[in-house]
Parts: sequence; C-alpha cells; structure tokens
Amino acid sequence: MVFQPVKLWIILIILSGIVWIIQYCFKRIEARRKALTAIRVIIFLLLLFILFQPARTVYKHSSKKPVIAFLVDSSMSMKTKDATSRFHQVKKFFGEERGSRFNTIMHELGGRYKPLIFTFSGSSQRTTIANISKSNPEGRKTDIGLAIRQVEKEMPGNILNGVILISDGAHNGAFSPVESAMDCEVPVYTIGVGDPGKYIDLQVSKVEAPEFAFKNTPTNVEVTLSGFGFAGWTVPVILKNVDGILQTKKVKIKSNNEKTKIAFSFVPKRVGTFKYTVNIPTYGSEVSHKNNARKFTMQVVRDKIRIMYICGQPSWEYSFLRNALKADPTLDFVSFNILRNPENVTIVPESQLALIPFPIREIFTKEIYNFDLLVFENFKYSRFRITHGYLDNIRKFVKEYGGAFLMLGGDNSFGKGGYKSTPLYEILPVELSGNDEKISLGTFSMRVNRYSHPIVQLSNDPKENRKIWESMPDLDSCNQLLKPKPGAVLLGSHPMAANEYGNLPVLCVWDAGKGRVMTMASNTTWRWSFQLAAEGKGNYYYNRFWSQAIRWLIQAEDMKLVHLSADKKVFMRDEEIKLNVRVFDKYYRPNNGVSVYVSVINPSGKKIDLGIIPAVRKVEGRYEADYAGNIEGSYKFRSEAYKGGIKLGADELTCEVAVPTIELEDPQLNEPLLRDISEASGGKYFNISSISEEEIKFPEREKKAATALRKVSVWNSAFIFTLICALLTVQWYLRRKNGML
Amino acid sequence: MKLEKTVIIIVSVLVFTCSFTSAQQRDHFVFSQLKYRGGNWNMYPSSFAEIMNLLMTTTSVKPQLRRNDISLTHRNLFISPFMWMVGDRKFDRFTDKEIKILRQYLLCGGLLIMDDAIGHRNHGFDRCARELIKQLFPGKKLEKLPGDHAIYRAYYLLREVGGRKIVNRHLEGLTVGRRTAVVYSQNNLLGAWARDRMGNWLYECIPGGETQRLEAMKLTMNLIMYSLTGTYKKDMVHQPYIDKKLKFKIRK
Repeated sequence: MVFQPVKLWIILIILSGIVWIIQYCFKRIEARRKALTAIRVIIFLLLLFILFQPARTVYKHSSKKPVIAFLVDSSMSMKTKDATSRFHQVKKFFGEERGSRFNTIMHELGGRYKPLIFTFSGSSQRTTIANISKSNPEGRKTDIGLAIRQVEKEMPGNILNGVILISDGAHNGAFSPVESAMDCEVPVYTIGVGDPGKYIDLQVSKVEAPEFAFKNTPTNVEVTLSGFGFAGWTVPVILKNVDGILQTKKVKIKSNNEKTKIAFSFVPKRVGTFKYTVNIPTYGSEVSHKNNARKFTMQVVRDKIRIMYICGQPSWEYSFLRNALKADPTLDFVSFNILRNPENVTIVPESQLALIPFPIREIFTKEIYNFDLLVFENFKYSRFRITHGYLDNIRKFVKEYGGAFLMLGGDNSFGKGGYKSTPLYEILPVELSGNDEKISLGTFSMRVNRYSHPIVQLSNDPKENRKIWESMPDLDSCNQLLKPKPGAVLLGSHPMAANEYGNLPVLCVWDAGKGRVMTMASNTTWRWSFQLAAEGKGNYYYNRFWSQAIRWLIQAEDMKLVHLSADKKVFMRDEEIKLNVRVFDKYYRPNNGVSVYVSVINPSGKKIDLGIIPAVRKVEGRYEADYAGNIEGSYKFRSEAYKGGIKLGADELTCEVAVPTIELEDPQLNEPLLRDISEASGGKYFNISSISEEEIKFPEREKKAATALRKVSVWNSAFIFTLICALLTVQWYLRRKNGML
Repeated sequence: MKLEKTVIIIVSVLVFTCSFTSAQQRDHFVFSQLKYRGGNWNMYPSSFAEIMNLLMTTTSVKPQLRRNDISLTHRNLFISPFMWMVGDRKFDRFTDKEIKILRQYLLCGGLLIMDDAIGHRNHGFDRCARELIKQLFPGKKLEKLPGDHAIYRAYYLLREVGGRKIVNRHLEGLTVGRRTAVVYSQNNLLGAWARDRMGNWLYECIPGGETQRLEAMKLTMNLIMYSLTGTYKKDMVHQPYIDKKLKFKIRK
C-alpha cells in the first residue's frame, strides 16, 4: 500500500492527537459514552482513510520466454500486384502448413522465442495468423516509424528480443523509420514484399494549381508524371473539367522513375468553384490505376470589378475618380463623359472633333448587365432621349440582377435631373422633392452619422477614424434631398443646412432588392483628395473611401452582413468541418441574438438541415457549427441569418471531402529504406522471396525485475462504505436507546 | 484719411472677390493663373474671357467666370487643379517653400500649363521654366509629348500645335506617375487669344495666320478638357472612331 509522503506524516500527527484525546477523555466519562465515542472515532478514522485515497501497486513478473514481434504492413499499398498481390505473399509467409517461412524462422530460432504478431498502418495492433489469412490490407497510410516505437513500448520489461518487419517500405507517415530503428534496443530484420523488376506503373505524381484563379485570365497548372516500365513511351496527358476536355498534351517518359513536368495554361470562363482532373491513360499491366488521375479544385473569381461611369459634363470629380479607379488593377473602368450638349455650337467640322456617339441603346439594354456598378454623375437622362424603359432596366439591373448603382450630385442629378418621376426613383435610398429641387450652396464639412459602416472607415481605430473625418476638407454645395427612405442608412449629412425632416442627407446607402445603391448629394469629393494634398496628406483617405464604397456596393466578400467560413477548404472523410458564421447589422456592428440556420447539400444531392447553430460565448456576432462529411465530393453549405423574422442575409461555402489516396501514389517496393532500417538497428534485409532463415539471430537480453503494472485503490470498496453506514446506524440506535435524541 | 479709406475699400473688394471665388466654385471649372515674382505673370488679361466664351459655347463644361489669380502660398491654390503660367522674361527663382507646394500640387492631381510668350530658347522664360522643372523634380526634364498623347485628342483632333508664334511644332511635358502634370508650350498660346477693347485680335499669328490661331484655340480647349477628363479619349471605346477620323495618320 502506498501513501503520498506528505500525507503520511499528516496522518501520523492526526492519529497521535486522536489517541491522546481518547485516553484523556475516557478517564472521565461513563461506559455508554465510551462506546459512542469509540464508534465516532472509528467513523472519523474511516472517513480520514477515504480522504487520503490509499492505493496499492500490483506488480507483474515478466514472462520468462522472450518475444519476437512480427510487424506486418496492412496498408493499401500492400494490395499492389507486382507479379502476385503483395499481401497474398504475406499470407503465404504465415501459411499454417509446417513449411511456411514463418514456421521455418521460428524453428531456426530454436523455439526459444514467443512470436507476437502485429499489423500496422498508422498504429500497430495485435493479431493472429488466422486473422491475417482472413484480412485485407485497407490501411490509408504507412507509418513504419510509429509502428516500431509502439511495439517496443508495449512490451513490459525486456521481453522483446527482436522485430521482424514485413512491408513494401512505402512509408508516408510522420515518424522517421530509420530514427525509430536506431532508438530501438533490439535488432529489426526487414522483409521486403514486392518485386521491383516486375513493377510497372505510370502515375500523375503531382499537380500544382493555384487555389484561386481569375475569370478570363490565363491560369497555369503544372503536372508531374513519373513511371516504371514506360521509358521511351509517349503518353497523352489530359486536363478536363465538367465541361469536357480543356487541353491535351503529349509527353515522353525518358527513363524509369524520372519526374517529367508538363505545364498547362487555360482561361477559366465562368465564376465559381470547379473540379478539374488531370488524366493519363491506364494500361493493363500497371500495378495501380488509381494514380493515373489526380483531381484538384479551383475557385474561379471574377477577373475585375466592372464599373460604368456616365458623366453629364466634364468635371474634376470625374477626373480624380477616374485616376483613382484606373490605378486599381482590380477594377475595369469604362466611362462616357458628355463633352458637348446638343445646344453647344461647333467651330470645326465634326470630323475634327474627338467625339463619339453615345450608344444609349446598347448601354441601357445590353451592356449594363455586363457591369457590376453603374455610376451617374450630374447626368440628365431626358437630354439624351433616354426613355423610362431604359431607366427601368437600371432598376431591374439592381433589384433583380444584384447590380450596384451610384448617383453623384450636381445640377442634373436627383430631383433636378427629373428622376423623381422615373422608375429609377424606386431604387434610390433618398426621397426627392422633384424638379424644383435646390442646390445648397457653399462649402461644408460632411458630418458622418455612422462611423461603424465600412464605407466611412478611414482608419481601423474608431477614435482615429472620427478624427480623420473631422479634419477632412470641405465639400462644395450639394443637392437638397429630402430625407432617407425607410430602411436606408444615412451615413453622412450636411452639418448646418436642414429641411423639415432634419439636416440634409448627403451620403445614403441601402439594399435595393438583390443589389445595392448609394447616393452622394455632392460631386466635389475630389476635394478630399486634392485639398488633403495641400496639407501634405496625399490622397490615401480619398482612395480608401471610394475603394470601400465600391466594394460595399458590389457586395464584396468582406462587405457581406452574413459571412460563412471554414478553417480550410479540403477535408478528409469523417474529418470535422468547423463552420464559422459572422453576422453584422446594417451598420456593420456585430449582431447578437440572431437565429443562424445552416444547411448542407452533400455530394449525393441530399439536403441536410443542421438547424439553428449556437452563438460563440463571449464573442459578439459569431456562431459556430461542426459537420463531418463521409462521402467523397463537394459539400455546399448555406447559412441564413434571421432576426425578429426578418432575413438579414445569407452566405454560401463549398468544401471538398476527399478520400486519401496517398497509399497508391507511389506504391513501389522501397528497398533502400528497408535496408536502412535494418542496418540502423543491427538487423538485416531480405526480400520475401529469398529469406535466409538461418541468418536471423537475436541476442539474449537481461531479464528485468518485476514491473509495476497498475495501481489499485484500496479505499474505493463497498465494504468500507457499508461499515461506515453500519457504524452510523449503531450510533443512532445507542443514542436513541439512551434517550439522547 | 481719404487715401486710407480708399485702400480699405479696395482691400475689402479684393477679399470679397477672393472668398466669392472659393464659395461659389461648386463643381465648376476654375481657371487659375499663377502669380510669380520677377516676371510678367499677367500678360494678355483679355484672353481669359475669350477662352471662357469659347469653352461655354462649344463644350458642356461649366466654368467659373472669374479668373483665379493665385500665388503658390495662397490658401486658395488648391481649389483648382488647373493652373496657367505665362511669361515673356526671366523670373525669380521659386523659394523652397513654393517648390514644395508646387510639387505637392502636381503630384496630387494638379496640371500646370507653362506658356512661353517670347519663344527664345535657353533664354529668359524658357531657361527659368526648365530650371524650375529641375528644382521641382531633380533628374527629370521636359520631354516632347508623343503625337498620340491624350492632349491632342481630348476634344479636338489636333494635327498641328497652334500659338501666336510657332517656335516648336510640338508640346513638351513632364510625366508624374501615370499622368502628364506639366505641359510646356513655347508658341505663346495665350497671346493668340488676346483682343483689344474694340474686339480686334491684338497679335497676328506667325506664320500660319488665322488657321494657326484656330489651332491655338483648339489646343487651349484640349488642355482644359485634359485637366477635366484625363486620358478619357485614350480609352478603348474611343479608338475605332478616333482612328477612323484621323484616317490612321497619327502624329509622329
């Protein structure tokens, strides 16, 4: 029995104290009280006994017969057929008939050793010869290093005298086999399974492709091929996706096991997540056909954000915004600037003017749908015979097609531009007074109403952001708009000029159907760029403001109110996919108390509802869920957020679940590795077809003393519990009998 | 006492004019003219009205009808990214502070038109103008603008460079980043616009006469358009039309 050293002296002191108290008290008290006191002392001692949780260690003496461990590789690569199946050769090795290799080895060792058989893939497990003859190699990886370490650890004392490893050496695990063999205190004999001379295989050993590609932009994919038994062959390599074959290239395999690289270049035409496959032909004589194709997934994102800017007259607003947008390589900027109005005269023939026709019909019936954002600056539609039908197309472009629209101020914008009576008014986030709309003259510093909104975040530090806005240069004049429509977000207003609804709205945004709209009642934001330059601050804030505005308008990933993400894109089968949903309110503050529904469509097309997922404690606006996919393929997750019955937004995410095929990627017999393992530990290497049993010898090891196996708790018994209960009952009975209760 | 009152009234009017200039700018084009020391900065004051008149009648640009005469240290310098500098003689070297401001002006979107009214190479205004460029951007110099530069097609398709007196058949310029921030003409552009009180042209255009004057006017319009639209006319959407009009003859 063992006690902790510290606890032992505490017990001794307490016991001494108790004995002294009992002796002292017993001299003075009567017999019945003595009995009661004795019972209480016993109960107390028993409780004290339980409190210190004493345990005894059970020792086991090791077996006198030393052990030889047979480590049998049961990974998938052992299915490979060089001439015959590798695992079949293993079964034959262990065959139950007397003349089997296994029996011969044990016989040669003189019957002095007890054989223990283990199979391993990732980790090792005890098995029997009978089990081996019934089983198939299905392990998805080979970790020889781990298997050697585990077997040695599992043998208590020094009963392990040697290891015989039977494997093809196609190691792909994390533990170094040679290092494990060097650390092993016993010799490891290695028996290689496979016939290198009869190994024929052609494989796509590597595909290097970017995770993201841009639509309409050439994308490069590099493929590495290797092969045995195909030297001098020319084989076709095919790159394809769901739409069919993208490219085919022919490549010559120069020599055995030499890596041959081929580069593919193709132009993705659609946005989305797509699966691609690199294929080479399969030949009947190959040991594996599974490595003749390799799949990869690539997300094709839009090439550029396309912006169409229609400007009613040349202005510095256009000039500065054009410079800023043209400098951004992620934007594609197309503009039409009305340089001459119908009432203007000309002093030269038309042929000397650099003017082009304004293609109204093409723009408003076809082209707008090819753009992400349409901008109107100081543009009066009625001057150019633009019908309400065309303006209705803009409404549809925003509401139904998810496009974005921005209107900048000026004499020809908003009510002054006659837009109140048009279909465009429906998508504007502000109420207009009509054609009699006035311009509020004079310079003013725009007052920001919602600093949390991403459009007006000019610094990540809220205090600094406020400070920057307070020192931004003035704008000059603005359209007198009435008020934001219900549901619109007022981001900026005039600090002084007001109407019956309050200060004049300057910067307003809202979601219109599937799209987004922004209105800026002034077209002098160029002053934020140029006048900050006078203070030596450059145009950083101006560029950041417009970059954020555009990203918000086109609903860029980081500007969504509901954002669904996972820690990675590709998962193994049954691996947990950790889903993370962040929800914001329309002012982009973390949104708590939201019902976040998550559903998934698995590769079979079945929709699985994960229900409402829980919020992450102490993290505002964040919700989490786990899901494990057990079918290979694409899983499409969708999250929808609701608050008070109103849908806040949705987001989607595609993850891939793959079955590991690493075992079949390079299944050739790795004789050099097996030789290194045996040499590192003092063993020897044989091929399974040519084992010299007499050369397998293990030195006798010193036997160790008894080894502690486990600890057994002494206090944790029913007897002690019953005894305490019985003593308590007796005590109660005695007290009752003597009228002490 | 009377003199003091007069001075106060004049100063008040000037201040009012100045504040009026900035308060009423809105989204209108403002023509700034640089006031500098030592030279003749205010040549051809009548030209401004002529330019504005043609600008309003032939284009959709809405200009402010008051010229913004400005020195580099004035607070209103940055109300307009368009600045004209004209002169016919040597001028004083700009101070370090002025150079810093002007560099900032050009780097952040401003356009400076330097108009040599006398056209003497390596003398007077020309020499000082080139020195100024060296001061502004050491290591850089004015270079000939290519025939297909956006300035030559910003509004009118120009095959010739006009002015009161043809010294160069091209414009020179200085590129800052992706933008031409300084344009230099030695042909006295502003002189071609000058009229007397009776409405007659003040100066004859040499050697091309009225055709040359028209080219000067068109070039002035193009410079204003270039300030307001940048390289708009170099956009792909314009190319087929412009190439067709130029009949594929692009200036070399």
